Amino acid sequence: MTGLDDLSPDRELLVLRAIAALESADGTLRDSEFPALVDPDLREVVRRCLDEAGRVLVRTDNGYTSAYADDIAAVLADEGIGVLNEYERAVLVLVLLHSVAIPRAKGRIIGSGWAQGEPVPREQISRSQVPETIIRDCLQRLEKRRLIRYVGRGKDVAPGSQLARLTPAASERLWEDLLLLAEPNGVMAGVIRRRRKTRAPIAKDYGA
Amino acid sequence: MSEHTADSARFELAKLRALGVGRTSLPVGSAARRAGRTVVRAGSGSGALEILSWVEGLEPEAVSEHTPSAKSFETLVFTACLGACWQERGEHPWPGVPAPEDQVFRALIDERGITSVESYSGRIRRVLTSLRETAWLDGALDTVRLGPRVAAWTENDAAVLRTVYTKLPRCPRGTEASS
Repeated sequence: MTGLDDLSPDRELLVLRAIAALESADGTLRDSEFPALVDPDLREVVRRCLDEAGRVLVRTDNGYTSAYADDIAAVLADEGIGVLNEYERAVLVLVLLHSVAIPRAKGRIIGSGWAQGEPVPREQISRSQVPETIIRDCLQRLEKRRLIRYVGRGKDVAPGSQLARLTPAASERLWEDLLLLAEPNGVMAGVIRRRRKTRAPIAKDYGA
Repeated sequence: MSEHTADSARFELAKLRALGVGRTSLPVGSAARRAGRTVVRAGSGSGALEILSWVEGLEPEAVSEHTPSAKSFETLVFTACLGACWQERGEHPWPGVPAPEDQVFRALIDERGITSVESYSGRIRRVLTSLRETAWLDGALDTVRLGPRVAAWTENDAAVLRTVYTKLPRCPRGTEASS
């Protein structure tokens, strides 16, 4: 298997540049700007390098980004690392429901990603059972984590750039969770529950 | 290397990224090199902390997601801390010298033309707490010390910062002693 050490200095540089950009960019990278993401052999080295640090290369609608590998994300979550509290989760779900899930169900948004959504009026989020002071605090914290962003001079909110950093499995799980929430007794909810029962657990034991 | 060790190093590096700064439970230097990264140790002995950093000369050009937004108040407060602690331009900013919190307050007042610190003190203190929690700063309240994340800056980072050294918010000359 080709690794960094097997590359010429020039090609190694291309890979390292792509890794630095993937791991730090606020959003998706256009592959055309990074030769290591265009060349299939170098892209494979990028993929291996990311894997060494528990990360994966994610193809998005308009380029590439990186994310935690599903098994790693599961163990981090088990350890409580990077986990949102229940109010933050509730507020984020409200944003995603109104910004992405409902518009997608009505055919106004295509694709399967979560980073592109319709702006949601801030008051729409207030029309919920979550107290206003908590919503304000949560939106502030979610914005800091770049899970939401303000648009239209702060009057609207939309999904943040970090939502591009979801693996296909994590993205699908989020969609399923919203289906379970929206129609807990529906046919799809039953299918999802049955599928999850038979699915192998994601997390492995890392002796952490 | 056993598969379990490789997997553990993989998890430790991911954990280090997620936490920003921490202590790994096994050597991860070679795994980091294979990943195109480096692990920097800040401090010594049992108090040493590790940070997942970049290969010298290949630091991200864009603002890192772990770096406070360039326009934020948090960044302004941090640059005032940097100005207070980094006193030898020719040296790396870390560890610098500890500075009284008050010196940071005065630098910010000067920077923003604020005449009264009271209206901003709560906000500045909240940011200082947040910077300590995220390892940009270190140490106890009332004193400002640059944290392990600054230790992870490469010489290239330091060279870039030297170009703005004189522009960092600092106490007006001659007022440091009173702080």
